[in-house]
Parts: sequence; structure tokens; C-alpha cells
Amino acid sequence: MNAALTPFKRRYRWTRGLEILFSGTGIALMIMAVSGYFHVAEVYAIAGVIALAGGFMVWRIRQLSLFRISAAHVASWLNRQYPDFQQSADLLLAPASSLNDLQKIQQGYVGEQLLKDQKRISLPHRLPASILTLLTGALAWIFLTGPPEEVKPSATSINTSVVSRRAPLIPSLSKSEVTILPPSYTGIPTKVTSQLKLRVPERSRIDWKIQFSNPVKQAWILFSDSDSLNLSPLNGRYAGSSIALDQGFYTIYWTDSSHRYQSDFFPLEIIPDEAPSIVTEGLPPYTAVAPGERAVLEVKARISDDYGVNDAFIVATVAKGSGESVKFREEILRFTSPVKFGGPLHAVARDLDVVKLGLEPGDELYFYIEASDKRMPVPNQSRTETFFVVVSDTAHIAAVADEGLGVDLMPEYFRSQRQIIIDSEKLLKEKRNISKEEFNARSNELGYDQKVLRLRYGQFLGEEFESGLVASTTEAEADEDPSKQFGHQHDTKNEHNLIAEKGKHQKSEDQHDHEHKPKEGQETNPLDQFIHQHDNTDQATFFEQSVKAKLRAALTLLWDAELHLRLYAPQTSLPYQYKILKLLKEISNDSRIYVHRTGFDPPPLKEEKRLTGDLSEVQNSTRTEASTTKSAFPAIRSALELIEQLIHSRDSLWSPAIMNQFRIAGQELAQIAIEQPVYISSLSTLRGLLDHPGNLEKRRSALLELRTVFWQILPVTIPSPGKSFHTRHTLDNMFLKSLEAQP
Amino acid sequence: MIMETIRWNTEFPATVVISLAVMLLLLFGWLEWQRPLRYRVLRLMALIFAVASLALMILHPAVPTVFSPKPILLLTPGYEKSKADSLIQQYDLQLYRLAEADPFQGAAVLSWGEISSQAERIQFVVGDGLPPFMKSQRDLHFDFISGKPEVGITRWNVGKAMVNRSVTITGELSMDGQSMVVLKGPGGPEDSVAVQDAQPFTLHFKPKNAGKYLYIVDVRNKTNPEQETFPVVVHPERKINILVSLTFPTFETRQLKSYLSDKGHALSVRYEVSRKVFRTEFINADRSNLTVLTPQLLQAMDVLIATPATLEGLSMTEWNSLKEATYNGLGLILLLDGPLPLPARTRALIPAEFNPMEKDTVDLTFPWSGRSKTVKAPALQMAKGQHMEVLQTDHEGSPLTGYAFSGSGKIGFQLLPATYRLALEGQLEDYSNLWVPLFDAVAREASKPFDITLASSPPYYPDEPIRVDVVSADGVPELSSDGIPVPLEEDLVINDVWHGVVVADEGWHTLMTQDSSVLPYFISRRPAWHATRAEYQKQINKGFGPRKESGLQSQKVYSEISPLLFFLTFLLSAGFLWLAPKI
Repeated sequence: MNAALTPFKRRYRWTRGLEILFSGTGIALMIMAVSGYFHVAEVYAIAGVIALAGGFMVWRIRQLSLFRISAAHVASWLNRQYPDFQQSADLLLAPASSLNDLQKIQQGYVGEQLLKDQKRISLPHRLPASILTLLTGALAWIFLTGPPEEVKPSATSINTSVVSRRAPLIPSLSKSEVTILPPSYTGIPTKVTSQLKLRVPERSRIDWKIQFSNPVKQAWILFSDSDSLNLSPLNGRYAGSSIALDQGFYTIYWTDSSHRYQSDFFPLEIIPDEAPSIVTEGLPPYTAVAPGERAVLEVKARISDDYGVNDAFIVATVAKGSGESVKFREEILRFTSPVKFGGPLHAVARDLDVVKLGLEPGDELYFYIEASDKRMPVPNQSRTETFFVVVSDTAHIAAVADEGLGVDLMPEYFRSQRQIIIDSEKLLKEKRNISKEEFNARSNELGYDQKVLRLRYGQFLGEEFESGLVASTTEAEADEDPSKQFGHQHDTKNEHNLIAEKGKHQKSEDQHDHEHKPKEGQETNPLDQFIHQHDNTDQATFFEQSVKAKLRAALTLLWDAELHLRLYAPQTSLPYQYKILKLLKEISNDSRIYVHRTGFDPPPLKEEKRLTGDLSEVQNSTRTEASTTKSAFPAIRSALELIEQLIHSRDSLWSPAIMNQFRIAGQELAQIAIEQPVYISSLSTLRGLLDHPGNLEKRRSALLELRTVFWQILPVTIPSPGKSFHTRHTLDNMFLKSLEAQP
Repeated sequence: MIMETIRWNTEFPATVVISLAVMLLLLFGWLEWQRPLRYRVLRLMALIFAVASLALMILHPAVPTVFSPKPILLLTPGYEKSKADSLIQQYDLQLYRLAEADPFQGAAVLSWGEISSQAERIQFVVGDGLPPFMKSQRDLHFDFISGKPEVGITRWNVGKAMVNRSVTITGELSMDGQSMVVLKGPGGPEDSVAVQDAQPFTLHFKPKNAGKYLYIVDVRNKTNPEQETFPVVVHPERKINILVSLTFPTFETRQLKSYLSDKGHALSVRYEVSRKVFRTEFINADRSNLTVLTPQLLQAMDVLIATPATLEGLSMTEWNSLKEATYNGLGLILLLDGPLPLPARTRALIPAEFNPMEKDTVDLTFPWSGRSKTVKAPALQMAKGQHMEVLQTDHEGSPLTGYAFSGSGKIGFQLLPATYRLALEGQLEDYSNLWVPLFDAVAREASKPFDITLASSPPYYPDEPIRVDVVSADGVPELSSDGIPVPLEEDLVINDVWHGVVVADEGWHTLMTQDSSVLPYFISRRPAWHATRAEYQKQINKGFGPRKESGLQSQKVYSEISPLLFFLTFLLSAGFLWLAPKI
């Protein structure tokens, strides 16, 4: 019979349970409404709900002893409330075996009464009050938190459904599918992802398929380079595709009938297709081959590329001839191994046979390795530095001093070294037939020629300030300047005054010799005239070291050869002259690739005006300019000061001027974000702050983030001086006056 | 006699009240005498008591008492109970405590306002002491017994902050164990230093932007972690008007010109290409006539850069104008690169002896960066014992840059001949470190009519008075704090020095005078910088010094007799008169 009371017990629990639930929910809604009205942070509101509503429910359950209610309690309550049970409802709990006959009869009676009055019995509850509480809470929540906000959903709404529950009709990004199709040559498979932050190989095709929670009117993607991509409706989604060319970021826009919405900013990073890398193995930059030697150069290299090498070859150039008749022949040489390319890494090899390439003594071979990858439509190409192979030529001695120079700056009147040798040999032969004075004079003339040649080569070693004709040179010698006798001053191709002006310059160079000019009466060493006493300036040339060393050696020999010719000893000078001839030939071969000297070439002096003291054309002149250096990121700098104020402000509304200041700063930030995608999230924060500032706490958090980012963006610059301010007090003036009064 | 000692604390005339009472007594006495009842004498006496007590209730009589005040022991926050107990046992003291101090048995609360009235009685102050603004109370003298040593940052000093310049912070930490002090700026961590136990420390930071910012110092300690916020006002770089007058351009001046113009300074340059024939350049500056150095031209300039040769080439009029201008504030930088002896005009401006330098190179350490470098030696070396303000020396202490005073102006010198090499090597910061201090020191100071300073030391707390000083160069200052006028009083001794007091709530505030001179200041939230404040407060309290003479003398005090006594007397007397016929 105990089972007869169980339905009452269960019904009581349900009724009371519902009552507690309604009351608790009502209280929770009221707390949420109040906290929402006063912009209390969500976490505090939820804590309040848990504390108050939850506390109330627990307290009520304990107060009603809802889980400890038993059939005996029900029986007791029936006895108290309903006299019809004649205080005998307890009998229903007792087993029949323990009852006497009278009790059994009474038990039966009570049982029947219970069945009969089952619907009439009303258990205690406060359901109407709890429903009223619930309704009050719901109304408070609806009215106090205001109408549904026009939420502009952020990108995170895809995953977390940030869109307000009270704005079910606002469309938000509900699902995204991005298909990345890298170029076929990369061999990278197609990738499908739901992430909108993309990092894709260069020139990949990207297909966006965006699904919105509610119908939208139009959708498009705006890229950081201001290009846009319209998304077309396709099976309930919006789709569009683009080729990834430039790094940057993008955002998705969509509109419904009345509003336009924008997603967060998403980075679009491009993985560039690198050019092939070529690493040569044991290949010297210069290789000298002796004439007649059968040299075979083994060219080995390792070529690698991120997506595969398409082709590689050797570009060889053979230079033949000398002087103005130099000729070049270019050839493409395929590697013997491998025959085909395609993989990401190849070890290539080929033997270069100097003879087969047709190189003869004096010829040169320049070559480099070039490789290209599979990039489409324009492949990446890379090449090594140029390697040189030189076949030495010692058999041919040129008659012209520097025929090998790419630009022949040698005037016609210059005697070559060979000519000086021939003349010296001739002079020695005729020594017995001529007078000593004539011998000495001719030897001195040869010395002069030798000097002119020395000066010619000295220029290539940076000896612009070398003294010219010595002070002891006789006037006759000066008048007999061969350059005047034979020179053609206006047709020397010498636009830069390297030679002719030098001659003119010699007088002043003599004046320049102030340090060494002997005073009257002092003994002087005659050799001083011939000794090179200036600073060594030969480092200031563009010649490579080996050529430079040869030139320096030749110059030393030129000095010696000239010295002995000046001392009327051509026989002693001849060995030096032979050596000079050999060295000059070598130099001319080495200097086939000639770089003209660079630097400041002053305009020719107008001799008629020089040292006249005429200052009529020297006048005051003025130049005005403004510094072009601007302060970096001016808007971000202003925004930083603004942020510092706003962080401590409790104003809920920002003026249009503040919003505009942030917008301009955002434009500067966007420029940086294109190059450094790490700042894209800050850009989203800034946009969120402008569009949907939220409560004070959220806004402060966003401002703090922006402050950090803005500060990090600002570059460190060197300090600048500045003037200080001072308030001149009367005591300062008195102090100065007293100082002035002191003797 | 008695009447002389009694005082009536009433607004009614005593004689009138007494006369009325006598008349009332006579009237009721005669009526009582007429009544044929018993206890006549007693009834008459009761009547006298009733009328007298009624009159005294109106007259409020006060009688003199002799009062001997006790010296006060004032308990302030952070006091140690044992020290207070010890003082109480040793002296007969009256106990008071500040409201912020922990309660102590028998100690009444003394507000800040009451301190001045009890100043002469305060004998001992125990704990962290009275707040610094009480320093102005001249009659406060007491023995200060400080509380427990403070834990935290006890000293904190931030140098003047200018944009792009290194700012040095010096502090002292009182904390057991190893601590890491981290300085955080708006952009994140700026500097950090490890400190063992109580030690002074130094931090550096380089603000990138002008404005008002809050920096954070984070003390990471296992037992006492602490984080404090401090305000930094970063001043912008102020542009200088510079005149460069040379006989010919050099690499040195070309680089200097480039550096200064890049920084936006106004440069007017003149080279004397021939006698009285000039080539002039104006960079970030308006065109003007530079052919003659007139007083007007020099007045418009902040700095003149010249060489001894330039000075020698000036006409006598120009030379006099230059001397006058430097006396009136113009800064002159002379590039001294020999030879000796220096020309007469240079010697007239720079009162120092120079010797030829015997070395090719010198070693120097750059300010701010602390880097050392060997540079080309100057041609001249300043003789020892010269009275010059030195800004940069080499490692042997020989001055390289410095200046001398000339009236309100300064005449600087730069001995280093080839600083441009630093810039060409890419060491622009070191290059600027050589020139910036010289320009800063020498450049003409811009005058402003009012100078506002906070006389109180930080930290500042809400609702606590902060003393403000205003130095005036012209007229009476009108000071306002956030737009609210602040009353000022002129110093009793020094003219044109004004004092005021401001009180503000938490956050940034701005003091401003009528000429728009501003001084931002920041109010911290209590108990921020508690250790710094307590330490400073202790120093201030030690300065009050003990009281030399006891100001406690017996006083005659008139104390009013309680009207309740008269009322009870009246009740009893009236009651007897009512009861007597019924007995």
C-alpha cells in the first residue's frame, strides 16, 4: 500500500522543483538585466547569477527538504489536511501482515478514499508566484537591456557564435571553406581549410566559399591593396576565387537589406618561390693555363630549388684577340650529367676542355652557370659569379705599350718601350762615332722619353701628383718637349685631361714640391730628383692585386731605367728596359677588361683667367631648402597621447575628432600590417574599438593593446638637441648685474 | 569675591535675572508666609531654593578650575605597540592616534585639523609620522620614534624625460632576498635589474614619443612582490635657430649641418667665399640678410657656430654686436682646431689656456650610451685648472667639449676635429651624444613669464594638499588646476615667488598659468608607493626636532555647572512645596 502514496510524493517534488526553477530563473534574468543595464562585466554578472539565483535555489530545496520527503511525510500531511482520512493515512505505509483486522479494514477504507480523492487532493506549492517571478525577470531583461544591438559580427563568430542571441536575423559568417590550389609545378596538393588566415604558395588559386547564418544581399572580399573580389551566390553559399600574388590581408564584407557588415582582418601570407641556388664545388675563380698545356677544367655544382630545377647550363664566353680587335664568342654548354632536370636537387658536372673550346695563347674564357626553376609564367633564374680561364701568352711581345686596354688612351706621340729599347741599342752602337756631349744629350732625351712613359703608367697607379720635369731640366729640354713637337692636342680622345693637362700641370707640380725644394747654398742630393718621395697612393686604383703588383714592379723598373739613362749609362739601363717590356706586355694582357678611373674630373681651367685676381663674377649666392625628413607615423604618435588620456577616462562616448584620429592612425597601421602581418590582429582590435566599443572594461583592454602596439611600431631615433625654457626672476637679473659690476 | 570668580554663560543680563528672581522670591515668600500651614521655615527655604535654581538655570554659572595638560603621545600608522607601551610607562602622557593608525587602548582619534591646535602639547610621535604637508606647522616639535623599516621601494627618482633621450631612474629597494626590478613602458618591458637585499639600483628607458604616460615598475620578489605605477611626462624636442658662419665649408660642418637639418632645426649658413662675398644657405629657415651680423640677426638666433677665423674676420661693429648678443643669451659654439696661439678674439671669449696636443688619438666614453671609442685627437689640449664647465672629457680627463658663461649666454667650444667620421661609420647615436649636450647647454633659453613647480615631493595622494610654487618674471600669476583657480600668496621674503596649495583626486591633472605655462601632475591611488612615502615622511618627521621647552603650563579654565543640578533642585523644592500642605 506504500505505493499508493508514492505518486503524491513524486508529484510534490515535480511541483516544487518547477516552482524553484521558475523562481531561480526569474531572479537570474533580473540580475542579468540589472547588470546589463549598468554595463557590468559579463563575468561579474554570471558570478552574481550563480551566487544569488543558485543560492536561492539551493536554499529553497533545503528549506522544503525536497530530497528528504518521504511517504510518511505525505501521510502525515494528508491526515492534517483531509479529515476524510480519519488520521489513518499512516496505515497505508504499514505492511498488511503487521496490522490487526480493524486496522486492515481501516487501511482498506483509507486506500479507497485515497483513490477517490486523488484528483481532489491539492499538494502545497507556489507555482503562480514563481511564474510571476519568471515573467518579471524576463520583462526586466527585455526592457532594461534595450533593443537588440546591431551587431557587426566578427570573424570569430564563425566558431563561437558571438552574434547576439537577441538578433537572430542579423546575418553572420557561419561557415567558411577555403580551397587553396597551388600552381601545378609546385606539386603541392590542393588544400581545403575552414581557416580564413591563409599562408599560401605564390600564385596559388584561392577559392572562398562563405556561408552566412541568414540571407545576405551581397558579399565581397576587400584586399589590403584596395582590390576587391565579388562573391557570387552558389548553392546557398557565396563563392569567389583569386590568385595570390601579393602579401597583405583581407576582410569580408556583406550586406543585408539595411546594413553592411564586416569581418575581422585575415592575413594573406605568400610563400615566395625562391630562385634556384647554385653552389660550385672546387672551382677557382681564376685559372691560368700555360700555352700548349691540355687543360681540362672540371665544373661541378649542386643546384637546388624549392619546387624543382627546370634547366641549368654553362654560359661560356671566349675572348680572342687584343686591343681594339678583341672578339667575343658566347656558347651555351650543357652539362653532361644529369641529362634531364626536374627534381629539387641536382649535382651537375661537365668538363671544359680549353683546346676544344678553341682557346689559343692569349685568349681568355669567361663562364658562369645559370639555372632556372619551374616557376610559371616567368621562371626564376640565378647564376654564379663569372669564372676566368686564361691561356698565358709569352711568345708575342707587343710593340704598343698598352694595347690590351679596352680604351686606348695612349697618344700617338708616345714612344713605346720597345722604341726606347731600339733607340738605346742604337745609341750604344753609335757611341764610338759620336761625341760625348751628343751621346749624353741623346741618352738624356731617351731618359725623358722614359719619364713620359713612366708618368703614363704612373697614372694608373694613382700617381697624379708625381713631379714632372725636374728642376734641373734645361730650358732647351723644356722647349724640346716632344709632346709639343709631335702632339696633336685636340685629337687625343683625352676628354678627361689625364695626359695633356698633366703636362701643363707640371709647373705647378714643381711649385708643389715645397718640402723638398733646396734652399740656396744648401747641398742637395741629385738623386732626390729621381726618388719617389710621395705617399704611396697606388692603393687607390681599381686594378686587381696581381695587375697592380706587376704595374708597381714595372714602375720601379721605369724609374731605374730612366735614372741610368739620365746618368748617361744606357748600357746599364737596357736590362731594366727589357724587363719593363716583358712586364708591360703581361699587364696589357691582364687588363683586357679595363675600367676607366672614376671620381671627380674638374673642368679644364681657363688659363687666361687664372691668377688674374678678377673677382667680378664672384657674387653672393643663396640657396634655400627645407628638410625632407618627416616624423615617422605622425597619426600613431598623436593617437598614443590620445590613448593615454582615454585609458583613464570614464566617458562612454567619443567625439568625432577622436574617432577620426583613430581612423587615420588605423591607416598607418594598415600600411605596416601589409609588411608585417603580425599587426593585423591589432588592426582588427582598432576597427572593433571604432565600430563596437563595448563597455568600459573592454574598451580599456583594447586601448592597452593598441598602446603597446603603437609604441612598438614607433622607430628608435637618435636624439636631437633642444632649447630649454627659463623664467628670468628679478634675482637673476640682479645677480648678472652684480657680476658685471665686479672688476 | 564669589561674584568675581563666577561667570555667567548667558545671553540674558544677569542683574535683570537676579532682580526678577528676588522680586519673585519676595512675592511668593509673602504669600507663603500668609498660608496657615506647618513647616513655614522649611517651606520658605524650599521656595528660596526653587527660585534660585530657576534663576541659575537661566544664568548658566561657570566656576574656575585649574587645568594641567599632559603631553601628547600621537600614534601614527605603522607604530609599534611595544614602543608606545614603553613611553606610556615612562611618562605621564595623554594618548591620541591618527584615524589611519591602528586602534590603541585609551587613544582618542586626533584629526589632521586638530593637530595644529594641539601642536604645543605633542611630545612624541610614534610610527611613520605626520604627513609631509604638516611641515609648514612651525610650532610642531616632537621626538619622532619611527616604526618598522619599510619593505619596498624606499627611494625613487625619475630624471627629466625628453623624447628620444635616455632617461635614468635611480631607486633604492628595501627587501630581503633576491629581487628583480622590471621597468615596463607603454610598449612593454624597457629595462630590468637584479637587486640583492637592500640596494640602490638604476634603470634606463628611452621614450619614443612626447606626452603623458604611465610606466610600471614591477618588483619580483618571492615574499614581497610589488607593482607600482609612476607618471612620466615626455617633453618634445624644441627646435633651435642656428646660424653657422664660416670662412669655408668642411666635412665637419657639412655633417653637422646635415644632422641638425634632418632633425628639423632652422639653419642659416654663410660661407665667406671671398672678402665680404658670402654664399648663404637657409634650411628650414626663412631667408634673411646674413652679410652683416647685426644685433637683430643675432637676437633672432639661439646658437652661432663659428671658428676663430670667422671671429677674426668680423668687423668691429659685428664683433661688438656678437659680444652684446652672447651677453644677452646667445649661445656661441667655437670649433677650435688650432693653431696656437689662438687669435685674440677667441681668447677674449674663452678664458682658458690651451696647449698643443701631443697625441694622434684620444679615447673617450660617450655619455648615455656608455660606449668607448678612440677618435682623432684634437689639435689643442686645455691646460689643467681652467674654470670652464666641461661636458665631455677623454679618458685622461682632458676636456673635449665645454662652455663658459658670458652674462646670460654661454660660449661653448668643441675641440674634436673629426666627429663626422662617427656619422660616416654609422654611429649616429654616438655622434649625436657628442653634440647634443653641447647644444643643450649653450643654446639660448627661451623665456617664459611663469615657472610652476611642485614644492611637495611625490607620491601625491587624493585629498592631500600639494604645495605649488610659482616664480614670476612678469606680474601676478593666475594659477588654475584643471581650470579651477588656485589662490596664491606671495612669499614673505622673496618678491615674485608665490605659493599655493592644490588638492585633487586620483589621475592626471594640469596646473596652468595665464600665459598657458602648464605643469601636468599625477595623483596616485593610496597605498601606492607606500614605502617611498613612508621613508620620505620619516625624513620629514625627523626634521621637526624635539621640543626644547615644555609648553605645558597650568591654566585656569571656567567650567559650567550642569543645569541638571539646578533642575533637580528645583524639582525637589517645588515638590516639597506641593507636598507640605498634604502632610
